[in-house]
Amino acid sequence: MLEATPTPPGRLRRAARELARAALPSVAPILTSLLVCFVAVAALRGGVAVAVDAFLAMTWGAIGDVPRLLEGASVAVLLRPWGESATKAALLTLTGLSVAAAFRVGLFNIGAQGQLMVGALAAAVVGAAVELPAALHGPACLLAAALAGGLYALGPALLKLSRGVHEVISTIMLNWVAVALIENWLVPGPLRAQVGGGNSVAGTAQIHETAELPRLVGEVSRLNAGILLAAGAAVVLWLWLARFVGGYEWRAAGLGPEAARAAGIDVRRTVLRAMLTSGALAGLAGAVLVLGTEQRYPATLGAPYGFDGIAMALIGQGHPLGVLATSTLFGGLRAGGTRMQLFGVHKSFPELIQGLALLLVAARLVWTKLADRWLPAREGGP
Amino acid sequence: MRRVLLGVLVAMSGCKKAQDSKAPAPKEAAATRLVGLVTDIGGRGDQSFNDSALRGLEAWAAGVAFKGGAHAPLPPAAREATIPPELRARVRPVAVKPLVVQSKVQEDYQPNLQLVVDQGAGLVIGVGFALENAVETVAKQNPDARFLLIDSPVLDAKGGLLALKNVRTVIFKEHEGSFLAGALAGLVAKERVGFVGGMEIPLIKKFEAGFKAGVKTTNPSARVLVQYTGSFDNVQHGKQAGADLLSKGAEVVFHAAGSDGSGVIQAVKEARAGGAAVFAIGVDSDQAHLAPEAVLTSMVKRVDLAVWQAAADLEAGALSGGDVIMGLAEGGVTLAPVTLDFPGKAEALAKVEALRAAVVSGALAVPANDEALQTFSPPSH
Amino acid sequence: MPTIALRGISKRFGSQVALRDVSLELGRGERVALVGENGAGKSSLMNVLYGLYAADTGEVRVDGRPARIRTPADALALGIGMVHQHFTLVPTLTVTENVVLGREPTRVGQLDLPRARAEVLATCARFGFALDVDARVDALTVGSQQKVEIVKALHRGVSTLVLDEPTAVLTPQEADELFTVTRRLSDEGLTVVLISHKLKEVLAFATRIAVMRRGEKVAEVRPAETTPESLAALMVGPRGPRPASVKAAPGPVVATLHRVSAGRLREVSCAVRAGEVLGIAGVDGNGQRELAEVLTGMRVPDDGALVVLGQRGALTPGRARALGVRHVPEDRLRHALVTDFSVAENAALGRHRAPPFAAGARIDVAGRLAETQALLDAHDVRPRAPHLRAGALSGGNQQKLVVGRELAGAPKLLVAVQPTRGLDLAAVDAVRGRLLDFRAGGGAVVLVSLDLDEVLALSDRLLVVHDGRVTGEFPREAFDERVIGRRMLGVLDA
Repeated sequence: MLEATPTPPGRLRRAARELARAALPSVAPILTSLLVCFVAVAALRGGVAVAVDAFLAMTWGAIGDVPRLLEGASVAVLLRPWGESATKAALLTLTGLSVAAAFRVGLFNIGAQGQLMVGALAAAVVGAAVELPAALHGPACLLAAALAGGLYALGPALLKLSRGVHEVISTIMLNWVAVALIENWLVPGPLRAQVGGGNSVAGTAQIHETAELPRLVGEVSRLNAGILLAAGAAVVLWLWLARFVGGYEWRAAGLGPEAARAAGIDVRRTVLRAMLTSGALAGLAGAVLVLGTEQRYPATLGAPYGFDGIAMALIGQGHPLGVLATSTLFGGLRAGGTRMQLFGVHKSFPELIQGLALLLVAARLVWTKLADRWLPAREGGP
Repeated sequence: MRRVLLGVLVAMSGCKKAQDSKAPAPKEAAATRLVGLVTDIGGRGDQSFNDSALRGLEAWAAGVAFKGGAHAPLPPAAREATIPPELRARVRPVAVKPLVVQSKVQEDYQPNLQLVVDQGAGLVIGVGFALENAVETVAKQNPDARFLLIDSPVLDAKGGLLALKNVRTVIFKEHEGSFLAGALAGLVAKERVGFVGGMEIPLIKKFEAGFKAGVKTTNPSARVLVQYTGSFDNVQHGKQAGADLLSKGAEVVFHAAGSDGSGVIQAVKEARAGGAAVFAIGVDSDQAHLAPEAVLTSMVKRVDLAVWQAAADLEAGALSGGDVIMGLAEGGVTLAPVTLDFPGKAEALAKVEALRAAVVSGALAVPANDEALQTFSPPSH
Repeated sequence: MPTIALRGISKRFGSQVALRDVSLELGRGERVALVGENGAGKSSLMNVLYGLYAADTGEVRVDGRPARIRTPADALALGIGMVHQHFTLVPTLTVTENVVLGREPTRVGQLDLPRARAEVLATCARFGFALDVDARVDALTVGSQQKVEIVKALHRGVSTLVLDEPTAVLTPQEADELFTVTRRLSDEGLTVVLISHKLKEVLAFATRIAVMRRGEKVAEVRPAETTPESLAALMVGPRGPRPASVKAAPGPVVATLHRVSAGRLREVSCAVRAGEVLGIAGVDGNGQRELAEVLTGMRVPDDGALVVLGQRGALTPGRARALGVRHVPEDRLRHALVTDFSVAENAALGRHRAPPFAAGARIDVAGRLAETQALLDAHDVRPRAPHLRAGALSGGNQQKLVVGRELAGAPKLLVAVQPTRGLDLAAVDAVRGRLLDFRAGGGAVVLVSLDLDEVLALSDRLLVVHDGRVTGEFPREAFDERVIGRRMLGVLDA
């Protein structure tokens, strides 16, 4: 019962054990879904060999084409997949963090998609309409995107606090407002790129080079600073929640709002700040898309990263570093998964793996039971 | 455990579904040349642009059909059936092997094009203007690879034309095809015709200008009612716009509204069922199959022909870069065969054919925008 | 011969005895009232009869034969129905639909609504209820909803009807009507059990009164043979010797309420002094909860003036805390603890912004751990596991943690609501000891408890509330359970 001070090696082992216990409800579903999908490909695509080839193609597409590198191909075969995986990982991480941040104060932000769109638009507008030196332009675009996303999330938070409107309803509706406003009006209308010579281009004007996110390894790969931004955001959010008084108040407000209020925590303000942060993170995801790869707000954004963020937050159990890890994995799977088409596997296969993993995460009780059996908790906690 | 089991079953069925649209799996270019094609996010089965491009590559050039998840040889007769009669003599099989990669999201265009290049494709086709940026970037990074970009020129940051030696771009004179559609509509309708556009962008304005010029040519007194839906992917919007124009008395409605157009055709079909003698005109590909009794004709963009031509040029070693503009003369746009009957059909079709000849010969210049339409004067008969 | 006989019923919840060897007989057409303080076991006894609780020992006999009543369905089958304080109607359904719910007449598997309506109308007519059977239940007044509950029971053909505090939610007129109707039903042969602590209505209505106290039936009397005063005395019972306590040394006033109204609390004026325990006695729901909430900033008064530790006007929980007010709330799982937080994180709650829990904007993890260890040791919270989830502690240890936390950091005023509810004896003693220590050190305590023994044992001064108003104030020298008991029940004249 008493807390003994463990020796360093014992402590380390115990920490590893705790980490394993905590991660099992995420890792087990992911591994299970990968296995199930592997079996499915083998069964339906003509054998284990094909499935192995397809999964290897996905792997090389995610982490770089190591075999071709060994055959003497240029280093680009490594760097290009890194760029694609990192881009997707950055987007998933930021939207996942967005959902996780709101989750921590007890809100379910389904509106990351809308916040991502307004953030993307803000970045595209500031990137194209404003002229600044490179040292300022990128940050200005990011700031604009974060602000736009944050403000877009603030509405539902205020509605919830003042009128009791459920945030799931309001954020989901604001997603459609964003689509209507941005993709049906602003982008094809007032904000459409003006070009000469009777040519027409889709989307908004191209952003200035000064606004682009710096490419990390030159033009050969799209690997850009977006992934650093996302990873940084994950670490900052983790530290905030785990190590700062403000983050403690978020968690208290989320896990026990009444107790938090009784303890003198201004739950309203806490919720507003968390929702602002949530929206800002989703807005940053939009900025990473525009400043990193698209260079403009395209005719239609297409990708529902805001909704994928919900999956990332849930599979990552709402832990910022869990979200980062999950998003890095699925970013890679998605970037690499497109190569599975070469083996007759449908383009949506990575999403299928993700959806299945999410479904299995929902069966959390099973995994925690397994964790208890395989890795029983020591009495007295870690 | 039951939930897990359920999950597995769901996944299995999902995988099974995924299998239905299996992509080809050639890894190395065989004796025949490999031609890669990257779709936009519409993908296979869009009944429009992507399907048309795939037809040009798979059926017309390679003589294969995509069935049960893989490419299988297509019997000559079946291949023939996919080619319109006027092109049958010209469109011969080409020794190429298709490699199709579909795109899930916008930012997949570039890696997908690169993937196809890495597979050793002799020609890489990007379908749709959305791939313009990606084709530009990948073409610059792979100067030895050759590209075909459908429906857009390559532009620089300011929107000016950019010439890349290894890229052929194809754009279409939609206004010319729309002109013929308008001419036919003017002959069928007495007082009013309708036009439903998607988003109000210059490309769609081209359709509108040509269509109006056609109506003005054959039925100067008829009014053209115009409505834009603001989208390309909302059938309901299209249906509303179509019903709206019909209620205002439109007798023939032409649409250039992507998926919204199915709604327009649906509205016309329902009005016909209610006893009204009204018609729809489809766009991009022959849309008669959507409502055989209601679709008078379609303004067809021969994306398939452009793709086939590039494959044929590749085989012949004649694949040039630069911009190709395909109008009525080049067979890039045309009207689908008119199978419905209406009073005075023979004379009307003859008149439309005469106008086609005038455009092809260069005797008649069709306006491509509002300004040109203002100064357009119809030829006298 | 009694139709229903409860024999030697006992029931325990954990270490708490809810019923101890209770016997009660109910004859046909009788109107039996069950009276007693909160927690005396009235409702528990009837829940045993209705099949909601299983008795540990004892038996129920119906018409002389032993009956197995394990679920309300068993009870209904034996003709026993119960109308709870909280209605069990579906608000969006009509009266007819609610009445037939669970035993709907069907035709080809479909609800046969016309037949159901006719049946319900017949029931209403037979028992003399004027109800609009087509009205939606949420459109009815509370009194009418209660009638629907009664009709629902009668429609099932019950011969014994238990009414649990039926007038708590009714206006006096509605209550009169209820008693008129029920009296007539009992004249026709229905056995009625009335659970109440409103002595006047009990005396007016019942043919027999059973008095319960701390899980036991202590008396059975006829209305004609008793008075409100003697009933109250029976309910409260003889009190044991009070624990010796250091004589209070009341200091300056720390909080004043002047004509404060909030929710059920109406125009209450009082003062709280340093160095004394001010007890608030009263039957549940008479405004004492609101009083505690006002003092701790959890609730803004509707009206009146409030001065707490020198601050005038509206308080927030944070402001109250900053002034030195601490709170041991009634529902510790909701208002005092974040059950998914660790013990250490809970130990910080409310003090988390200042050292040793924080260093600037950062959490001082080491400081928090040390402080938590000290707290656990000082208040004997077991296990001494700062990283354990607080929800995993036993109730008593949770409460010791809360009380310890709230008393740390030299507060000035502690508002404790039901601080020992649900605790075992050792924990009760521990918590009470902490409160008295705090008061001995010059702290002010406002103690709200439904347990009159506790209030009498700990308080230096006592306020009795009834119906939101103060109906009596007693210094410790003048504590008289019988007088206090009467005041709690709203009986003002001795």
